[in-house]
Amino acid sequence: MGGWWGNHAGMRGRIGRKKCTVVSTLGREATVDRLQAVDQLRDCTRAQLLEVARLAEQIQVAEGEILTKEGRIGREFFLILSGTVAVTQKGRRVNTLGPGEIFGELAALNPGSRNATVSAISDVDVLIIGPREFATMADIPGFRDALLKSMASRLRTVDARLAAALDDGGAPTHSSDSSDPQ
Amino acid sequence: MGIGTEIDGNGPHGRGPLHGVPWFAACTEEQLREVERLAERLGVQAGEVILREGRLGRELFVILTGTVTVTRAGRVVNLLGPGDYFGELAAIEAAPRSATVTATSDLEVLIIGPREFESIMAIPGFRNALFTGMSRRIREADDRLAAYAERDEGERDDGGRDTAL
Repeated sequence: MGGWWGNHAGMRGRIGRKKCTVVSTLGREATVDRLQAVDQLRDCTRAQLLEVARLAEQIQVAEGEILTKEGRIGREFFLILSGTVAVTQKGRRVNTLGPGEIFGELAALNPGSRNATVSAISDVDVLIIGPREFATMADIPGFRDALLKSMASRLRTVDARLAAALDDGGAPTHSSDSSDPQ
Repeated sequence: MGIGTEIDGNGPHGRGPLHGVPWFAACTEEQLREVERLAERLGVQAGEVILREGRLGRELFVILTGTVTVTRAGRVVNLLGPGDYFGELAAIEAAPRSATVTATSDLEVLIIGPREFESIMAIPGFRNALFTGMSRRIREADDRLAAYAERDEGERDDGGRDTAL
């Protein structure tokens, strides 16, 4: 994950003779403090948040930067610690997300290309969690609940928008794809 | 809920129909026993309403056999069959049911109550099935929404085409 996030990392420096990059300018305890301020994670114990901080990478992203790009392959998901992002599909703004909200989880759960572009509309602090860590994260009840609630909320929103679109436009083409056994 | 009769636990060979449900394919024997312990099985007759839009309820349902329709504001939005689930939104976070679900055949369902939901979500096979299912539904709904948005724009570009139904 070092790759193209490198430009957004904190300090570069030297330890001994090796050049290194300090990825997060906050220590783990400080990250935990930030996490405790996140409303959606309020049910997590401090020990659980420490685990989250251990599994995730914290990144600061400047306003205007793109975090996920529609159509590209990506497997990480993101938890916003501070700041605001815009979610766009085919150039159309579909959502705005803020602190405590999660995005990118679809591609983490179901490998595939990103179905939206997410860009920072302010300076943003995010936690990035890779797909391998996802299973471990899902074991943390507080975090799992936050993820479930985020997805449930997203489903409600998109179902409501679909209903509104159908009301405007007329009879839907009923899709039977969802009726396949899972 | 006004629904039907309890069904005896396991089938003739001591293994219930859970094994036939793809959702539980990733569960170990022990996990399946745990699911059986936490969930309740119920039989529902064709025509019965299982969930009603706007009403309160916290249970999650998994269909073992049979089919249902899912309707919202009177419009059929989905058809579900064995291995599908419903009711998950209100199980995750208390809220009025967002759709009405009606049995279109005699039905066997697994019901997971709110107290058991937390425990059953600790079972990785079960949890992954729910996560995967929800993410797939989100993707499909997003795609359908995008298709409508594009169609609407197309109509506007046609400039004044009569869209009266």
